[in-house]
Amino acid sequence: MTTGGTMEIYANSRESVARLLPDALKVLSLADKGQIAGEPVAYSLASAKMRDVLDTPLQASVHVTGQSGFSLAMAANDEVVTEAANQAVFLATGTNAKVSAAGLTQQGPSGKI
Amino acid sequence: MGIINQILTYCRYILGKKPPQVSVPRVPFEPEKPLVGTNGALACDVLVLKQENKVVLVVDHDFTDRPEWVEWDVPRNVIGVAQVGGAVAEIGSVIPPEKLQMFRDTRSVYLSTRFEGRPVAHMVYLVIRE
Repeated sequence: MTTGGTMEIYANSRESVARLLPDALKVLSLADKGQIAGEPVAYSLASAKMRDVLDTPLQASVHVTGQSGFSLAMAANDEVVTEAANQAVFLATGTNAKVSAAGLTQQGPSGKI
Repeated sequence: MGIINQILTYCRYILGKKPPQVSVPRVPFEPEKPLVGTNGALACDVLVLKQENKVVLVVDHDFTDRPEWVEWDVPRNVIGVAQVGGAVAEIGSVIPPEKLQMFRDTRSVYLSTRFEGRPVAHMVYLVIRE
């Protein structure tokens, strides 16, 4: 399992953080289990649950190109990864956003972090 | 002895004798093979995650060839994904050059890309060009 602790995250936009973070966490989880070596490994986010990925809350220092860094906190729970991405984008952008398999749909501002 | 050889060589030159030519077999012309995979500048979302000694690079692009290694060209601040077929996809790096020290000791990265729409993870070498 991927432990929490401090992570450094770099991305070219806040939406990228929300959309690609589940992939990064899933890959990190597979790497921790020693499942990525040599041959490419196909993985799925659809069936992944956050408790499969995180065993402690995530604390990350996020750096987006052209913007100052901000921190990201994500709790480990039973929600699917896409819900985690929703939470991430909310924390990152201060907007209620919904992330689906098709992409990102923002639903307007709801405060700032 | 050396002087005699030089004089004889000079005499051969004066007489117009050329040393025998070694025939080199002609190599048939082969056109350059086309690159396979995604080549050149690529505009796509990128995320780099570093936790302790592990680095994950997520490139939101459907590659048609298997990535072989990743190189970070620090002066150009470009991340290149080199593929088995010789193509190199170049993406604007999201890592500030001043963070070079953090990544200097990293030998390999976990790379996530898409293949036929499905996410695929690879472990590839990271080359840093300074």
